[in-house]
Amino acid sequence: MNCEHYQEDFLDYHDGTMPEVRLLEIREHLKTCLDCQRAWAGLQALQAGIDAVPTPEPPDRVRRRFFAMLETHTAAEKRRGDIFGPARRGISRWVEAILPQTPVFQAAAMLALLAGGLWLGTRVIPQKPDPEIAELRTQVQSMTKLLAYTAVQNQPASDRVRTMLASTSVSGSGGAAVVRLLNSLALDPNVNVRLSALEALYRHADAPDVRAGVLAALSRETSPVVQVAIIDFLTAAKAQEAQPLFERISQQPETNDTVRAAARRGISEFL
Amino acid sequence: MPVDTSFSDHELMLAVRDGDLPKLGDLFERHHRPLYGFFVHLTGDRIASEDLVQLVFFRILKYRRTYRDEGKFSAWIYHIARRIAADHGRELSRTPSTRADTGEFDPADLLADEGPDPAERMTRDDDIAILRRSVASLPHEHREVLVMSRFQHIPHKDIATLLNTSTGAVKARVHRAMKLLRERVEHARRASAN
Repeated sequence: MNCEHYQEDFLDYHDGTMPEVRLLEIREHLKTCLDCQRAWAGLQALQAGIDAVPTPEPPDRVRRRFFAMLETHTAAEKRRGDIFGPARRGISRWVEAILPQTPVFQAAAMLALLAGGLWLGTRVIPQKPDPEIAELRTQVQSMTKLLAYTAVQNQPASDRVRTMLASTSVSGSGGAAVVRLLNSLALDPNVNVRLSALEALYRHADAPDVRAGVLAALSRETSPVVQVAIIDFLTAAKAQEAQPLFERISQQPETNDTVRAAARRGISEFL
Repeated sequence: MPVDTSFSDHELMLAVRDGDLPKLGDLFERHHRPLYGFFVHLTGDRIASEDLVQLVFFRILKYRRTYRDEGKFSAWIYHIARRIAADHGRELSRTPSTRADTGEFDPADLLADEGPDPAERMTRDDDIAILRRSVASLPHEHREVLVMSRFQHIPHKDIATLLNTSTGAVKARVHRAMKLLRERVEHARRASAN
């Protein structure tokens, strides 16, 4: 007699979700098998213990955070449907039509323009002393990075969110992916994109430069939902350097209550 | 807050998908409590569970356009919740604070003064506290099916859909989890009595 097969069905027997035929078989078996009687009694006692565990009740701040997020998201959706939306979308479509579609070709087109400009410059502009050329090169490099970021920003918000999500699979703490995530967190006008960028940065939370970038973003952030998310990120990352900013936030009367509460919670975690 | 019960979860989610975002508030009122309970039982961390609940609804908003006409909302929300719990577990595994997910079991964990709730610490020998710690000590795959089946009362066939396996496999897994839980509870009670 295989008691294991009977005992595997004890849960269905307990829950009353068993076909009648099988129920009768188990009932008959329990009349004579001491091992199964003990197992059945043990399962009943264990399930009674589980049923006695109080259902955890979420604090009210869970509701407040959710409705703050929903309100922000709904407002963002409404803004996308504003009166200049059709014109903006028309211009976006025109720009998308004449520019290369894939990031690789976009980057190649940008570099080709840059190279052409540099070549033209060496032919037209008089030679400068070396230190000035070095400074110009530094400025061009910064401009290159800004253009690369702008090329991504021309994509619709849903594509930018997908880009952020794809970055969650990027391993390693350095590189262009992390820089892009930090830029998006700091600069993207869309709340969902900023939240997605922050979410993707969680796997890099151990890196000091990532924490510094996220901390800098907090001081500029205006959306309460993103502020709370950044505070939670820095708290989870045990970024003690954020404590002074948390203290300022917790004391500002004009700051959203939920944000102030999150800052106070972060401070208590650090102590 | 009063909850509108005239629409099913599926109908509400279809409305959200089609742009009626405030309807997500009704879904939140219906599901955030059991979802919070799911995360607390699974992680043992009430503070983290608040964030995990928020993340679930954030992802529902983000991915609302992927919700299918023939979908089932409860299966969808738990699918998202499982993914988030797994991500949370991976983040925690970078800090050696829990051995449960690696399958290593230290009986001392069952008596440790863990948990953020001071009342729970004061009643460490209480049966409920022992049970909670025993659940927390289970390996993740046992703990997950146990919480879904015995705490959340999700039917085995729905759990099978979530885990992409058969109902029979889920039943066997829950059975093994209950057996292991019973052993750990009895061990903890014996240790507590000594």
